[in-house]
Amino acid sequence: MANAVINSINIVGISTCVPKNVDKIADYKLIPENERDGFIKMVGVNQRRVADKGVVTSDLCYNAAINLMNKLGWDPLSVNALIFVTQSPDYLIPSTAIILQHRLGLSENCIAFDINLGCSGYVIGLQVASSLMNSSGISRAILLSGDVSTINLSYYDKSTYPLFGDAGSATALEYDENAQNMFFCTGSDGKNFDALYIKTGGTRHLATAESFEYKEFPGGIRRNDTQMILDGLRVFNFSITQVPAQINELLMLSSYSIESIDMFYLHQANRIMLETIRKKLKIPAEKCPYSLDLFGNTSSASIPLTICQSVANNDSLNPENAVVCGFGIGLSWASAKISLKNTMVLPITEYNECAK
Amino acid sequence: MKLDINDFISKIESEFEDIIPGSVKPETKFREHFEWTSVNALVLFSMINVEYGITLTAEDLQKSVTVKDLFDIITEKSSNG
Repeated sequence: MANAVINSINIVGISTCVPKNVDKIADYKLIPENERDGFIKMVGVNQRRVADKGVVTSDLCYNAAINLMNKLGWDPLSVNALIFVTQSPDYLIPSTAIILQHRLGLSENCIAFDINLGCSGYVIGLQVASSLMNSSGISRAILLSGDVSTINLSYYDKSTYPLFGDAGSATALEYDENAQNMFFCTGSDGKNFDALYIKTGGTRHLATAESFEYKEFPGGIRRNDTQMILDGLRVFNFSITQVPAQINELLMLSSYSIESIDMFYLHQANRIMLETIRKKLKIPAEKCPYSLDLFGNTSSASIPLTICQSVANNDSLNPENAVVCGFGIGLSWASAKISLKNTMVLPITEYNECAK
Repeated sequence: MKLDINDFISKIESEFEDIIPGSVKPETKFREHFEWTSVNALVLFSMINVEYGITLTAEDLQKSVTVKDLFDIITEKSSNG
């Protein structure tokens, strides 16, 4: 695995924004009524937030970033790097981060680009942003991450539709010689790229009229080629094997133990998967908060969303020693040991129209 | 360590609330004995991974009919590992 120790970067603020619209799994008719309670209990998703038509990831992240800069008292012109981790950009080209540089009022003296990652993207985004700051002498950066995944789901595919929710996040990073070291372990497995993917719409398979025709799959599932495909068992087996091994490696690298870490913020995939990982690592339940029940799997926003929910609920008060871990689409995985001791963690906000 | 099928059965019975304790036998067809959904399959895979350190595949599941079939695969994978 690709391991790294990065010094002198503080995580000074985290903010998350979700759409107002709540969709309850209890109302989802494609899961038979007698199976719905079991699904909610075991998969762990009670409800999720769904963006209204026309609201996209950059809108949610814009809201989160404006809120964060206001609360931190940051002059937008003092930010010299903007990284947007998303798989739901505004346009195929150019990078949405560049559009957001202007929208957020950042200086033109600003490096801005997108990273096409999902579940692992928040942690890899942290690694890229903090390395870039150190190597390029950048004192302030904003990392945005999130997805409006619901756009790419088929209502008739119960293997994906009830799992994913929409959210956007913003994380403020600042150069500080006294900051604690951050430790990263990162890995990629391209042979399983098709365990979770959208086949058509890129350049390998250009979209045609036929791409939008719905096809039948086992289990009564119907979807078209522009919608997300999830091989649940393959992703499940990958996660319960790879994640515990990687967190153990991260703890070795950073000289911490399960006991000496205050909080573990894991990517919110599904409850059975998370509980399997937690039990294998023997992490106490109170050190491993979930946001899955209220928001579903929110892709690269799930870790900041869980941090914001947990701190706002007073479940965890700015843990000095925290582990963040993302894993899934790619397949790709990344873990980091970070400190949130000096981090302003804002309560989750709902998207409002005035941000447009 | 020798694996015990009765121990495996008691682990299955404690994992699923709708199973009456003592009702599962080695020859029990698990898809018929309790509500078999893709979610319950993950619960079973999770239990086997946590308790035995074994990762079952979709093919393993396809070729298994009874509880003993699953147990035999776990035994085989344990001895190879």
